[in-house]
Amino acid sequence: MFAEREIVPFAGKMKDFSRAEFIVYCVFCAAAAAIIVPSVKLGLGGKEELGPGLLPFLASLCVLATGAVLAILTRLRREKVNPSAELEKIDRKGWIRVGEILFSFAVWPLLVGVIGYIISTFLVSLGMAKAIGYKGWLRPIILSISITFCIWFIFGFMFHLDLPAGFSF
Amino acid sequence: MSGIEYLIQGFQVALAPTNLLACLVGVVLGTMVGVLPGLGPIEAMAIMLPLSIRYGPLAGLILLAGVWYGAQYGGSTTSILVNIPGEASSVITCVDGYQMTRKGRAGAALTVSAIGSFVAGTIGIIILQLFAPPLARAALSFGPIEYLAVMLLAFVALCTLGGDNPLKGALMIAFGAFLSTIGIDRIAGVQRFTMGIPTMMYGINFIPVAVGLFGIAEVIRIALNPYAPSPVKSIRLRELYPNREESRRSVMPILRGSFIGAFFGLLPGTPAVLASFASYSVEKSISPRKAEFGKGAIEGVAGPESANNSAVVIALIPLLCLGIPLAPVAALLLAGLEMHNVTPGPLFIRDNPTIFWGFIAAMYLGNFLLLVLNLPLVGLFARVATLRPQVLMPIIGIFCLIGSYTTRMAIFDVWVMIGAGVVGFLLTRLGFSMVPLVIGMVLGNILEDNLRVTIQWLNGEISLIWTRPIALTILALIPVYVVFIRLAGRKVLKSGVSD
Repeated sequence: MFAEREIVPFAGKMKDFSRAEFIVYCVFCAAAAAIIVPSVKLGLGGKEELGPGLLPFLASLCVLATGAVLAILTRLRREKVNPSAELEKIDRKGWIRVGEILFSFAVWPLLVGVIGYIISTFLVSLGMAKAIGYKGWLRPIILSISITFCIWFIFGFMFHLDLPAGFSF
Repeated sequence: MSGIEYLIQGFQVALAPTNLLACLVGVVLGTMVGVLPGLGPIEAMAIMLPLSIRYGPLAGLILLAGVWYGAQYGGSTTSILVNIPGEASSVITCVDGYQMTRKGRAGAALTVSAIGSFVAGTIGIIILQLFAPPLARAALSFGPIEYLAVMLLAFVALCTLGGDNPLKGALMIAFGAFLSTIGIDRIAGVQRFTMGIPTMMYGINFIPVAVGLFGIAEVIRIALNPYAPSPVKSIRLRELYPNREESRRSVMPILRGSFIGAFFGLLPGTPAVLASFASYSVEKSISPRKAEFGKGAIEGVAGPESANNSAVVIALIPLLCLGIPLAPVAALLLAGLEMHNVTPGPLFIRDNPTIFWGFIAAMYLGNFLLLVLNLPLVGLFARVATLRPQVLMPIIGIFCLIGSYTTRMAIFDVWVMIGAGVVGFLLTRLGFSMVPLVIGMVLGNILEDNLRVTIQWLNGEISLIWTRPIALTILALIPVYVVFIRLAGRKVLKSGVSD
């Protein structure tokens, strides 16, 4: 999953990750810069007491400083990263699958308060199983029922946790 | 009576059916809870507290303690198998444990974790038994300023876990420390960066973030190409357990981790977290195979898993000998004891020898039970790694969802988990390590508390710091550590091994 890093002249079909890294560093720097002023307004404290804004101020200062240095180093070195052979090819179908999985994750908190955790869990696990590539319906349904039962048994029955029942239970 | 005679008497008490059952229930429940993200030893102990009242003080104490150190082992199982830390102290195990699973060495990692936990737990109990009173007095010499110095040293050392560049580690730590400040300041009572969202007033909980950064990010990675050939197709019997070289390489990390954990166990706050991370840092620093760390080094599992178990045992010393719970779970143990009208403290061992020695004996038994229960299950657990993504991903996804929700019974935490998963996936692809971010979150509040007390104590007189030699020694170790790391890195490069 991690790319090998080597400094080589640009050649062939090597993928350039340095631009993405540069953008990430800039985002961190921008966020840190936006936090500094509110931190100071919260109060840094004095010789005798710590203000509520001191740790956020120091943390954001550190993020700003390290982010800026890393961004500069990225531009100066212009490193070209050779993707490791272990990296899977990411095609459009892969990103669609990721979108479906994330949609499944997002559906659970939206549904659970309305229809309860049992039906929500069943639907979401079924959705994930289909999104990840399970063919047919019988096995994904059996898998989803099994997962839902385990969740109910462990969290609801054994630990008596107050999971949302919704209108269903 | 001598110590041995007391211990024999303790075993006679601990082997009573009620106490033995309490021990068994405690370690089994603790292991299960440790596996589940979202439920930690504190929640499990709180649930078991009313149940523990029905039994005597010794059985109740044994039950609660069993949950505690059982959870330490359970947390490592999901860290190793599916890259989801069940506990804060298991975060560091994700780094190499999961990589071992991806290489088909899950069984070896789980076995080394179990044996390391047993050895370290036993060493911790021996230290507790022999040196409890003087160690308790030593623990008192560690004040907020010493703890602050330890935090700073820990943060510097954490940078070395920052992926391919220490500056990335520093950025992640600082970001994690910032995230820990979100919410209501506990002393000033002001809201910090809540953006007007009511749930944010309670802060961002560490568990959903950790589950998202590690678990959801991994789900996303596999979802990109679930048809990629798995390096683990099947596991043969001999692959379930460590081979000769792995066993040999595990011995010293387990022993070192045991004593590192024993040291950190005396510190207040989250001793197991610091202990596991410190052990990993030490092993990585001194290992001739630095290049393997982060890619499945057995030392990266053996050391931290031993350290966190040893720390948990030693953390009981201030509670039993001084009546001072320095860790949140110790506070629950104190509550359990006081419900039985038993007050730990300086006279505890003298006034309640049956309870103290029975408890010591029960810890030996519980430690052994953990090993006996979990070793045979290694084969079953290791086969989880061979499950197809179509089966494994829904299971992991649902447990992540439920686990994040049950942290505070808040939907907000589920959204935090999802967001952290996306961010974790993107940052990991760019070479960032998520471990410093998570540990920064865990230690950020503790750092702030100790910084606050230190500033109040100094009261503008910086020269007072010269009266704290322990703190000065620890602070002096920071530049020594940095130089050591740089020299060690150059030595590795010269020997031709990439770092």
